[in-house]
Amino acid sequence: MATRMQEPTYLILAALASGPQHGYGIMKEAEQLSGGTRRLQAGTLYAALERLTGEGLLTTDREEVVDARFRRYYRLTDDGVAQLTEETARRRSQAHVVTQRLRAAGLLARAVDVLTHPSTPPAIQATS
Amino acid sequence: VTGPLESRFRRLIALYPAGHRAVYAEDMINALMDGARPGQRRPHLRTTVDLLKGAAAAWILRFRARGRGWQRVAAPPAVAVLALLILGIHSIGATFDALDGAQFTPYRGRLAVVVLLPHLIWLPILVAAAVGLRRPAMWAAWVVGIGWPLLNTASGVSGWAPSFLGSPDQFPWLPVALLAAAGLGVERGVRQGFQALGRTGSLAAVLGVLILGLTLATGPAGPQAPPPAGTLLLGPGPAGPQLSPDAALLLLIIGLALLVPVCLGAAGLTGRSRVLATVTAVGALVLLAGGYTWSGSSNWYWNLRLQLSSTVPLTLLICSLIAGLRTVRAKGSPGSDLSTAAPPPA
Repeated sequence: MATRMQEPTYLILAALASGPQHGYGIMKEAEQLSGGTRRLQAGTLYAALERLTGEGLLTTDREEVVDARFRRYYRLTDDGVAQLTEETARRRSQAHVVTQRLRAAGLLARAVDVLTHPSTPPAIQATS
Repeated sequence: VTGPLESRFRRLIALYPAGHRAVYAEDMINALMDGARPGQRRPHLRTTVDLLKGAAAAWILRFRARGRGWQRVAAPPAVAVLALLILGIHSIGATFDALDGAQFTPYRGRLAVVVLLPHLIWLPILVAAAVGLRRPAMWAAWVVGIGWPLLNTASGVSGWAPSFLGSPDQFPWLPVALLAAAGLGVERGVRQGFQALGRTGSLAAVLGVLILGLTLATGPAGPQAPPPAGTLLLGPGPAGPQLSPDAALLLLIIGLALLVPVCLGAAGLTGRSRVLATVTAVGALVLLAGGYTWSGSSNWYWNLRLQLSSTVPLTLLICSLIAGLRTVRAKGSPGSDLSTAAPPPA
């Protein structure tokens, strides 16, 4: 079953790689992971959260009330970690093939330059 | 105090299914409010569209879950596999008849295609399902299972149309076709079906269906020539292979003894009850054959085949119903895998 994972799904799972997050935390984390290019909206996020929970990739970690506000934290299940790992490996392998093609075409220097000096640093910072 | 922005978000979230709202509504409101700008009074158009899309996705998720649940109840994988195998064998029987051109003298050209295709198609459907082309196989099963009887009935060529519910002398086409089609709708259903039957059960099912199907298709012909309408499974042509009635009866007993325990097992019957039910079914066949012979019937085997051709698929239907009800009782209502946790604290 090698169905390709959609970008929002990948970002949601990746946002939870560093630990449990609540909904808004996932949105911010996903934005950072995409280098600011992708901003998940609440409708997309919660539809995906329900689907991924049903598929057994996510589960509720805990629920808290902070400043009279309800927060539900989500975390990856073992299946979720496995799927995320598999998808990351697939993307890495794809990137490797593209890099080889760029090298073969003599465009590698430019590609390395783009990779090492991206316009937006892909820093990953956990938000609490 | 709820501000105007939060009220508007809540109005949009009210479009989501109740189960989704019970779990996610408060968390969604907080995420939306956290993402809003200070002083914002209305949701952005982009956010509104996204929330509407999310609501549609949540409803679709539920409808799909219900569909899958219905399919699991209507056609538990093990029974769906048996239905497919029986239809595959029906295809083999039809092929035997198709090879005997004499039976199809009135049906030539396009008409022969309309008449024969729904019978012959099940073997390709079975092969397609086996090699992983589940969806095309499923759609073909739905189209052929429902479409062709309708087409044939409408065309007025009812003589060779697959019967809808079956009569004593007809193969009950529609229920078995629907079981197979619904079973193909379940993702990995065919594989799960064979897994549920187990290695021995799968082997017994395939052998049992092969023996029953081929015996019914190649056994001694009845008094009528050609055989009654819609009974392709029953109709060996004059040029087809012919078994003696005694040999055919023995094969039918072996076929039933292999298939019946598998059907009963799929319906959840185990241990001594299953053995008892199998012995009863096979014993009933022997008694029926004995009764026909004792009454001096010259075409006792023909009558026996008429009975079997409807009772075997009908037994499958009953097993499916029992297995489906057991599934519902064991797992609660279909689609119960969707999270419906209690509402969060205020």
